[in-house]
Amino acid sequence: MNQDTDDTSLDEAIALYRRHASEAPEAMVDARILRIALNSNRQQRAMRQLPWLVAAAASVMIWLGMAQPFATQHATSPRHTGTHPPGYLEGSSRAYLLGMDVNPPTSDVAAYLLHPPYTSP
Amino acid sequence: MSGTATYLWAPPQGFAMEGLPLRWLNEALGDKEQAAAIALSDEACMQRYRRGDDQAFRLLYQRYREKLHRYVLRLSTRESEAEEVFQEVWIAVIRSRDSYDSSASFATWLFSIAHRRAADRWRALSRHAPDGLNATDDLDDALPLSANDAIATPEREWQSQSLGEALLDAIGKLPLPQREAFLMKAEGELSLDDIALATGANRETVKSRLRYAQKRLREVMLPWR
Repeated sequence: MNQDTDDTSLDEAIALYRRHASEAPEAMVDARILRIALNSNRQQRAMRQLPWLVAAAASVMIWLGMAQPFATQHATSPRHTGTHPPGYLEGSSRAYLLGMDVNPPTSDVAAYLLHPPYTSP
Repeated sequence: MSGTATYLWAPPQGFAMEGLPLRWLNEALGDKEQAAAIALSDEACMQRYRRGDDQAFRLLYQRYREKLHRYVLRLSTRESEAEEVFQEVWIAVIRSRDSYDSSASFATWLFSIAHRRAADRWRALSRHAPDGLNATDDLDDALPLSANDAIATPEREWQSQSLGEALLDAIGKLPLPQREAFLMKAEGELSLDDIALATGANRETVKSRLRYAQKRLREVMLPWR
């Protein structure tokens, strides 16, 4: 018995209605709606993955941005490439010599180490 | 209808012949998975669909396609109009799936969308909406009883159509609010509270609408008893 309306005649009417009402949507309509649902889910999945893809792409870009100048500097250094431009060796030798400590030794030990007494073999 | 009710899926009439969605479901799921999916409640299906499970939506669609179709069909004046509303409702379900509150019954949510869509459309078409002027709740002001026709000429009715057809005809002649309340109960298996929620009416109004509908339909069925 239907408790909401407290009358069995409504239940009878509903039961009778269900037996006789048999209309259904067309298969074309079914297919259209299911396709919309499927596409909508695909789009949503893509949207959910988008931040991760953007973050991954940004990480790669940052990594490339940081690695590239170093790699360029490293690769174009004359010392590593072996091809020296004219005057490079002279210039670097001069810079090395100018950087040398030319002050006289301040202690006897330093003087001894820098100028060991000549010994014949 | 309870929010946690489970529904066993049975192929609707004519559905196996068309076979399209059923075939997709069978291809996608194994026997055990299929059985598990069929035992899922509507609300669980909706939760799964929100998480991206397409099969869950197909299951929901299979459960409610005929019920919703008949609901909008009997509230509209033309079949093409009903088809448009039917599609609009499902598209609304798809697009607003994230706003669905899983603590509420899916059927109530679905039929409340259908109610709003149908009302909007009929208002736009300047027709009588379920809560419009022509949609009277008053039994005395309502359309002439189809039951009167049936009572007046029962023999002709016996010859021309079955009791079921007379009932369907009588349902079609019910005032819109009564018809809608009856259809929500018969098709959506909604409780008084769920119908009130879906239609925006209070419980007593819904109860009154159902009582009037019941009275009219009983009068139609009377000559066949």
